[in-house]
Parts: sequence; structure tokens; C-alpha cells
Amino acid sequence: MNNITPIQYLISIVTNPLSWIIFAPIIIGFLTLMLDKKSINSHRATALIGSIIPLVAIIFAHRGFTFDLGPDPLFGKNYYLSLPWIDVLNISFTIGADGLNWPMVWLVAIVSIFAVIASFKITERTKEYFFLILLMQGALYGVFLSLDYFLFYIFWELTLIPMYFLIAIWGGPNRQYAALKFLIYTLTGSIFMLFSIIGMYYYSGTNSFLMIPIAQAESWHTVFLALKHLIFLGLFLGFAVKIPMFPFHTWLPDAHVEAPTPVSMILAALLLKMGIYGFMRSAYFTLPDIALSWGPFIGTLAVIAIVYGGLVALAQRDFKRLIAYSSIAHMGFAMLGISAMNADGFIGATYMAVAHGIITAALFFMVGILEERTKTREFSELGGLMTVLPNYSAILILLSIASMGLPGLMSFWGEFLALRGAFTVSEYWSKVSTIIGNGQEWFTFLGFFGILGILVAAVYFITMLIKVLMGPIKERWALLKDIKFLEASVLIPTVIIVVILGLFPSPLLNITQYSCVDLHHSIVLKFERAKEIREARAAQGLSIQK
Amino acid sequence: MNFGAAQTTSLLLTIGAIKLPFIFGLLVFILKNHIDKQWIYRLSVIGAAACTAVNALNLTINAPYDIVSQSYIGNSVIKFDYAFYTDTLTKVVALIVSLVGLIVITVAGIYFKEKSYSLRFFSIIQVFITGMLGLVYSENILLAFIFWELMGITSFLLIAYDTHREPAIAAAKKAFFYTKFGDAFLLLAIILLYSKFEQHSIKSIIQIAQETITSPEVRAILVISGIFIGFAALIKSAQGVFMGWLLDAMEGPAPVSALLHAATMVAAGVILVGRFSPMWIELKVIEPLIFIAGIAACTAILAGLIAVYTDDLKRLLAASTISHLSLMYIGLAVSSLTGSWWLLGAHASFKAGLFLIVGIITVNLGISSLSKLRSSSILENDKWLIASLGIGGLVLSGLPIMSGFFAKESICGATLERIIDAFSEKSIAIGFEWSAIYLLILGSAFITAMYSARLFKLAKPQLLSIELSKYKITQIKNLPLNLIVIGLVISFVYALLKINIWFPSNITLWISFILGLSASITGFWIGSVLMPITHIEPTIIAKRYYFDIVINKIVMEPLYELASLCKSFDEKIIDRFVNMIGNLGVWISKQIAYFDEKLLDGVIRTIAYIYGFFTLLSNFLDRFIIDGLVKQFCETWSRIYKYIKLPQNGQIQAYLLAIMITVVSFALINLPKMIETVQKIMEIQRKATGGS
Repeated sequence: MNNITPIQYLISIVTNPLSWIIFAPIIIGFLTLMLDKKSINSHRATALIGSIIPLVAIIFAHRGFTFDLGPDPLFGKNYYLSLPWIDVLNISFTIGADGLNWPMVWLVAIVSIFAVIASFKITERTKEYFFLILLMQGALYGVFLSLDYFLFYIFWELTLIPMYFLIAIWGGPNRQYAALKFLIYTLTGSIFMLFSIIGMYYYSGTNSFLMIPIAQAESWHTVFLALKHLIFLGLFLGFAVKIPMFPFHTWLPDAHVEAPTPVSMILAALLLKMGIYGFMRSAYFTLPDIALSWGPFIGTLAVIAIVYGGLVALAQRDFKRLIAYSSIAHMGFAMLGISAMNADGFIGATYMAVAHGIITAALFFMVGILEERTKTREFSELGGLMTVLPNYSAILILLSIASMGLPGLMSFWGEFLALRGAFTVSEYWSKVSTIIGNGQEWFTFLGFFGILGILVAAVYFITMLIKVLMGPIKERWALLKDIKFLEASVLIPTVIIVVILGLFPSPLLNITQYSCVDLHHSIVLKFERAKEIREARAAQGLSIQK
Repeated sequence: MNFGAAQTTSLLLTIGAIKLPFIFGLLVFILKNHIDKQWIYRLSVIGAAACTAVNALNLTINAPYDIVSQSYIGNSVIKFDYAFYTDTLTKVVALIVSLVGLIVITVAGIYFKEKSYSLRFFSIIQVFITGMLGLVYSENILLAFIFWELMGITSFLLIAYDTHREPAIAAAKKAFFYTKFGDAFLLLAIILLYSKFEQHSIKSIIQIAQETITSPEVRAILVISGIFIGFAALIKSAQGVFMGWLLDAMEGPAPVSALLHAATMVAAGVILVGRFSPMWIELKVIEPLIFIAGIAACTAILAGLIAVYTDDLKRLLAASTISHLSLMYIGLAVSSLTGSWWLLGAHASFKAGLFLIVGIITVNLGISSLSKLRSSSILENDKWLIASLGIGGLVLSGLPIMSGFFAKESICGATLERIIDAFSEKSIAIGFEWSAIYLLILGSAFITAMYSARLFKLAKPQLLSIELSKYKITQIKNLPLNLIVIGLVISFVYALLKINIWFPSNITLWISFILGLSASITGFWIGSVLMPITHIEPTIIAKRYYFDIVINKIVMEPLYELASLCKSFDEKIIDRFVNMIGNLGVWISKQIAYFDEKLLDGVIRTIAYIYGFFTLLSNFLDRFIIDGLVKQFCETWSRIYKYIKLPQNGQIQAYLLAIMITVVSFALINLPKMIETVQKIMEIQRKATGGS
């Protein structure tokens, strides 16, 4: 591995479509910086090209993929690439794709293109803007594709900086506060994550930062329990802030409200998914025993997020804040699925992540469209727009009902599978004790509340629709213009995706299901191995006593 | 046609029937701004007619299996298949649904003719019909749930069709929230059934349940999920305390009411329960049946009383829908499946007709009050209108040889059989429960006949005043009314043809037959002869038994209050706490900065000051003391030097003098020492000589 020549090194990077996916936006982003400052169209075109190249690479790579990877995942499959990078610290450049991250990569590709098209409305400092957007994209692809913790961490932090500037420069009136809050909050979380990464490096005994070997390391069975709890806590904080889970969520509404529309789209659709993906790829994959003992706690937080997020959304008077809080509730469903720790739950979480990404990005875009025309987001100012903006209304209704989890539309399958996961948790939960009964009973209880959350979602989305589209119309909105071509080019594909993947969920499920089943399987194997070790130790202890 | 081909054709026709309205709805939505209004209308009618034709065609195909599926589209994880029932009963109900849809769409064109309206109505209504047809056909409960919810949201849009009218919006909101509340229970039931049987296919669930019913856990799951399914269905059908939404839904346009009340939406619950009730009856899972039948029987009386007392024609029909639906539920619960399905079909035909008639009357006159209608003369000239209103009233009443009659009789008979079964099995409590339900059915038959008589009285020509109408009902072309009357007559004739099925075959049924008949006749007699057409409505009935107010008080208002509480908690506590931590960080950093500035920096600065002091001191020393000394020394010396220089005048004598002076002075200075030294030397010499 070490005697690889620089030329070979370069060739193996250039011939790998996954590295194209990561680096194409970043390189094109730097190219954007060289363009003339005043030719806005050239910036737009470059940014669009920079977002389309990864999509082409994804489509190209997708054809050769196998998603039923089996017990020995990834190595040598699906353009898996592992190159030495910083040998002294055992850091490598390792990227690969499986059912956990490939849906997210698709999501990044699709939403990025939508966000770039939505960004065509931005007219000031476009060069820097598109550079940051492209940098952001590259970093997001990096987060989802990297299989080395160090690489993962670098890309993870790299997403923060463009986001900070995008909010702080192009944002609303209170942008400095929101941007700083976002930055500090997520940075604090990721520092804890870094501690855990270093901890995993040392205690896994693999002497590498590779995610999959660390997760499969045998030495986890012998590591001191408190240490494992600490490592899990660090990972939990890092990811929970990003999702955001219930008590860590207050950065999100502020950031969303202040961010410009395309940035809100990226923030809601993609950045939150980093947490979901991180939980599945890292925390639950590596330390399932700790996750099991934390399960009722995490599940409860998730359900609180569902109900509480929905209730707070119901009380909002600002259109954009309502969508922001609905994101918290939806991420609660994904988290409930993950905390149930079975195949249904994991698949539901992935499906929810993708569905929420597509739908909420479009909803934020809808808010942006309305704000651009009416210069307000207050419900008290809006109303009765259905007769003025028929096409806008039709799309808003469809997206809202999709977001509230109406069956036959995309979001439903995520919620449904997550809830089904909560109701059908495995027998391991029966050994976990909670406030009332064992883990299984507790999760049934949580599932009931999760369904209540669906009800609350229906109430606030319908209330929103009534406040925006129905009721008496104000005179000054009588001449509003309906959706234009540019806007339709984002919304129509979204609607098509939402309906098609709602009625025929199989294409996405076929990508993700095998990996989720494998993840569940590996967790079960770990539990069984732990049991074996416990029994062996007990037997040893007995023999020593004899 | 071979075995597989019939199956495939049946599948294609079923999917086609479900998809057709949807496709036409989409087409209408896309084209509505680009083609003529009249063409949109025609397109909708063509869509509905095509759907009806496909359903009729489907009925003619005799598929060898009751279920067709397209499982290759489904998914192994979700167990979500496109599977459909293709038995004759399903196909008949589907045909009725599409037929009602066709009639409603046809009449809607006339209804909307004079109003300025948006054409989106035609696209939504098509999607709504898709929802109902899908629900009727689907075999997979998850698939059924999709259509179930599709109907929920489209009904919201249809009721709130007039988006600027507050009552319509409020009614739509209420309809959606109430039914959504039930939907949550349906979802719960679906998941519960899955958690035990790992299936979403109704047939598979029933099969596994039959095999494993001996386990008490399976039984418990069946009971709980059954009650949940029943609850969802009852809410969807506006039963029990949730009857308010259907009564309010009359705020929507008349065609929408006709569609909601006839074979769709409210009937969805009946169809869903109808899929499961045979299993409950077969496996003797009695709790959901009693639950459903009990609530339905009470509702039948309560809703019937509303219909008896109300002055509003539309509300009378709405309340009668609720009470008829109750009867259907009881029929399902007492295993009189054919009675229920028959009532579903018959009710669809006469209720759609009645609603359209009432819609036409109210649109043209702007009134729906019974007392005012009676004194107006609108009905006198239009024979079709009178005939259909009269037939409608008669069919509604459940008097003999009307289609409603046979359904009611069959349900009554089945209930009586249940009572006898229960008592013969010595389960006294259940027997009494069924007896109570039976009495309630008789009561509701009586009440139904009573309010039907009010409608019938309206149509009796001699009761109408003869003064000339100032209203012109030009819109009432004969076509839709013909359709309605033809529909009524068909159902009537069909009832006659099938009379042998309903005819009592044993003594129990004869008793039930006589009891039911006498209840109806007495009711009709009292309603048409003894009761005045209008009378004072008791407050409790006018307020609809305070159900809505209570629900509003205990659910909706607390929900909004909780929401605002959560919002303020979020802003005032969590966010403030986060900001507090942030501010704490800022404060700490300020303290550190202070420490840094004042303490650490102070020490260093003090040192620097001291150092500076010393520098100044050394500077002073250097400049004034050391440098001064040196300077003084130099100056002194230079002064001295001046004097020293004086003697240097270059003359040899002076130098000689100086040398002399030097020598002399040296000699003088050293003279004592020299003398001393000489003395010492001399002494030494003396010692040396003398001593020897």
C-alpha cells in the first residue's frame, strides 16, 4: 500500500466516479472564483455545471452498483477506494457507497441542482455565493461518501464554514446572530464527536480510522463500559445537534428564517441528514450495546420532537418558521426509527431523510416564492391566495399533504416504516428496563405518541393551508403573478419525484433495504457474540472457583 | 378466454377503472386554462362515463379468483402490493360508485352554470372518485389506506371549494380533522395487525388469524385492532359523537354533498368494516361487532331525531344519511352482509338523487327551509321533480317493496337471529346487548319513516299552493333528473327481482318482518298524517346534542393552547436557556479578558513600569552622575592643562630651568630618605668593621 507511486495514486482517484462526485463541485467552485465579477450569468452557468457533473457521475456509477452487499460489506465493491493519505497518523482516503449513503448522495445531487436553480434569483456577490454553494456541495458529498473517520470529520467541519458565510452575508436582518448561533452550536457538537473519533481510534484496536473495521472490531467486547458510554455520548452530541434532536433544536428556526431561500433548502434538506446518516453509520453501527441501553431515552427524545415540534409549528405565525419546526418533527420520526434498531426502523429513517429532503426543500422554495412576491411571511397578512395563484396553490397543497405524511406520497413510507419499526422492536428490548415496563412496551407506548404526532402534523399543515390559501383575500394581492418557468423547473420535478416515489417506493427501498437489513443483522450478531463472551467468562469464572 | 387471460383482463380493468378518473382529473387540471369551459365539462363527463363503462365491463368478466395482484410492483420489506378484490360484490359497489360519480359530474355542470367558478372542481372530484374506487377494490390494507386518505384530503378541498366563505372552510376543516383522527386509529390498527401477522394483505391476515386464533395474544390483537378499525370507520361515516362533520359538510356545493353522502366517503367506513366483519363473526371476536353495532344503533336514533325535527331540507337528508349508515354498520355486525351491501347500493342511488334535487331547488330558490318551500310553488309545474321527490321520500322511508325496505328487513331479521343465538349459547349479556340494539333498530325504522313522510308530503301536489312562481327553473333540463329517476326505478325493479332472497323463510324472520313493517308503517302514518310539516326544534337537537361543542372544548381548544404553550416554552425557556449558555460563554470570556487585561497584563505592565523607572534612573545616573563626573574630570583637567601649558614657550632656558627645578625639588623631596639611607648604609658598614 505504501509503495504506490504518485501517478498510480492520481490515476486511481481520477478513474473513480465517487471521487469525481466529491471533487468536481469543489474544483469548479474554485474555477468560479476566476470568472469576471460582473458576468452573473457565467457564475450561474458554472454553478449549474458544477452541480450537474456529480449527478452524471452518480447516474454513471449507479449502473454498476450492487446493494445486496452481504456480510462482508463494501471492500472492492461499488467503486470502493482506499488510498494512504497521512501514513504517520494512519489516516487514509477511503470512500465507498452502500445502501446507507447512496440515497443521501442522490438527495444531495437532486437538491443541489434545485438550490442552484433557486439561487438564480440572487444578484449580489454571485461569484462568492456560488463558490460557497459548490464548496458546500463537495463537502456534503464528502461527508456521505467517506468511510474514514478523519476524512469524514474534515468534510463535516468543511460544511460549516460555507454555511456560516452564506447565512451571514446573504441572510435576513438578524443574520449575524443566526449564523453565529448555528456555527457555535454545531461546532460544539462536532468537537465532542472528535473526542469520540479519537477514542474509537485508540480503543477499537484497529489502529486505523476506517469506519467499517472499527465497527467490526472484536475489542469492543472487552473495552471498559464507561468508556464506551463516553464515546457514544460524544457521537450522540455531535449528531443530535445536527439533526437537531429535541433540546438542541433552537438553532434551526433562527438559521432557517434568516438564511436566503436556497440556503434554507440546503440546510433543511441536506445538513440535517448528516446527523441521521451519522447515527446509522457510526454510533449505532459501532456501539449497538450502548445504543440499546440508551434506546428508550433517544426514542423518547425523538417522540418529544415529533409531538412538541408539531405543536410549536402549530402556534407559529410565520410561514417559514412553521416549515422549520415541521422539520424538527419529521426528523423525530427518522430518529424514532433509528432508535428502534430494526431493519424497518433503519429503512424508515433513510426513507424519511430522503423524503423530507425533497419535500422540505420545495416547501422552503414555496415560502421564498411567496415572500418574493408579497414581501411578507406573516399568516395574518396572507390569505385567500387560491383564486389568485391556482398553480402555486395546487403545488403547495400537494407538498403540504406530502409533508404531513399522507399515504401514497413520499413522506408516508418513512413515517410508516419508522412507526412500524417502533411497534415491532426485537426481543433484545425486553431486557432493557424503563420507567414503565421493559423496552418493548416502552416503544409501543412511544409509537402511540408518534401517531399522535401525525395528527398534529395534519392539524398544523391544514391550518397553514387555510391561512395562506383560503379565507377572504386582501385587495393588494389581487395582481400577484403565478409560478414562472424557472420556479416550475424546480417544483414540477419535485412533485413528480414525490408522487412517483410515493406510489412506487420500491426503487429507493431496493437501494437502501439490504444495507439496513445488514446493519440490523450485524447488530444482532454483536449481541450474540457479547452473550457468548459473557457465557465463556462465566464458565471460566466457575472453573477457576472449582 | 383461458384461466390466466381472465385474471389479467380483470386486473387491467380494475387498475384502469381506478386510474381513469385520476388521469382525467389530471388532464382537466392541466388543460383548464387552455381550452374552453364547456370542453372541460365534457371531458369530465367522458372521464366518468369511461370509468363507469370499464367498471361495467369488469362486472361481466368472471375471474376465477377473487383477488388479483400486481405483486412485482410491491416491495418485500413494506409488503405493499397492488392487490385488488374482484368478486362480484366489489364490482357492483364499484359500478354504483362510478355511476353516482357520473351523475354528480353531469349535474354539477348545470349546478355551476350560472356561477363563476374555477374548473378545479372537476379535477378534484375525479381524484375523489379515484379514492373511493381504489378503496372499494383494494385488498391490501395499506393500499386501501392510501385511497382512504386520498378521499379525506380531496373531501377537504371539495367542501372548502368556495375558498372565500368562512363557514365552508370551517366545515372542511372540521371534516378533515375529525376523519383524520379516525385515520390515526386505522394506521394504528394496520401496524398492530402487522406486528402480529407480518402481513398487510387482508386475505393473508384472515388466513393466519384463522390458523392461530387459539392463542390469546392473537385474539387480543384482533379485538384491539378491530375496535380501532371500527372507530376509524365510524368517524369516517360520521357516527356517534362525530356526526357533526357530515351535517356541517352541507356548506359545500350541492354536487359535493351528493357525492359525499351517496356511495363515497361515508360509505368508505362501511366497506372497510365489511372486509373484516366476516372474519370477526367467523372467529367469534365479538367485541368489535358489539362496539360498532352499539354505537351505530344509538347514532341511528340520535340522527333520526335531528331529521325529524330540523326545518332545513339539506340537514334532513344529511341526518338521514347518518342514520342509514348506522343501519349498514349494524347489518355488517349481525352478519347480514348482503343486507348492508344492498342498503349501500340503494342508499347511494336514492340519496344522490335526493341531494341533486334539493341542490337544484336550493340553488334556484336560495332557500332550503321546509316551511318556506311548502308555501312556494316551484314544484308544481315540474312533474319530474315531483315524481322523483316523491319516489325518493318513499324509498327513504323503508316501506314495503321499496329497495330500502328489504335491506332493513334483512338486517332486522339477522339481528333477531343473533339474539336467539346468544341466548341459546347462554351468553346472556351479549343476548341483552343484541336485544337493545334490536330495539334501537326498530326505533330508528319508525323514526326514518317519520321523517321520510315529511319529504313525501312536500311532493304531494295537492299540498302545494298554486300561486304562480316568480322563479324560473330553466336549468333543470330533463337529462339529470331522468338519470336520477331511472336510477331509482332500476333499484326498485332489482329489488323486485331479488325478492325471493329477502322473503322471510322461517318463523324468526316472519316475526322480525312484521315488527319492522309495523314500525315503518306507524312511523309513516304518524309523520304524514299527525305531524305538521314544521315544528319547533328542541335546543338539544338544534345544538346537535352538544357533541361538537364538547369536542371543541376538550380537544381542539386545548390543542391550540398547548401549542402556544409549547411555543412560549420553546422561545422563553429552551431558546433562552441556549442563549443564556451563549451569554454565559460571552460573560466568561469577558471575565477572562478582564483577568487577562487587568491582572496578567497588569503584572507585566508593572514590571515594565519598574523597568522603565530603572531605565529612567539609570538614564539620570548616566547623564547626570557618571557622565557629569567624567565631564567634570575632563573639564578640570583641561583647565589644569591650560596652566600646565603656560610654561611651554619653546625657549631652551625655560626647559633647563624646569629640569633644574625638577631635579632640585626631587632632591629636596627625597633628601630625608637619602640621608636616612646613607645613614643606614654607614651603620651597616660600621657594624661590619666594628664587629670584626
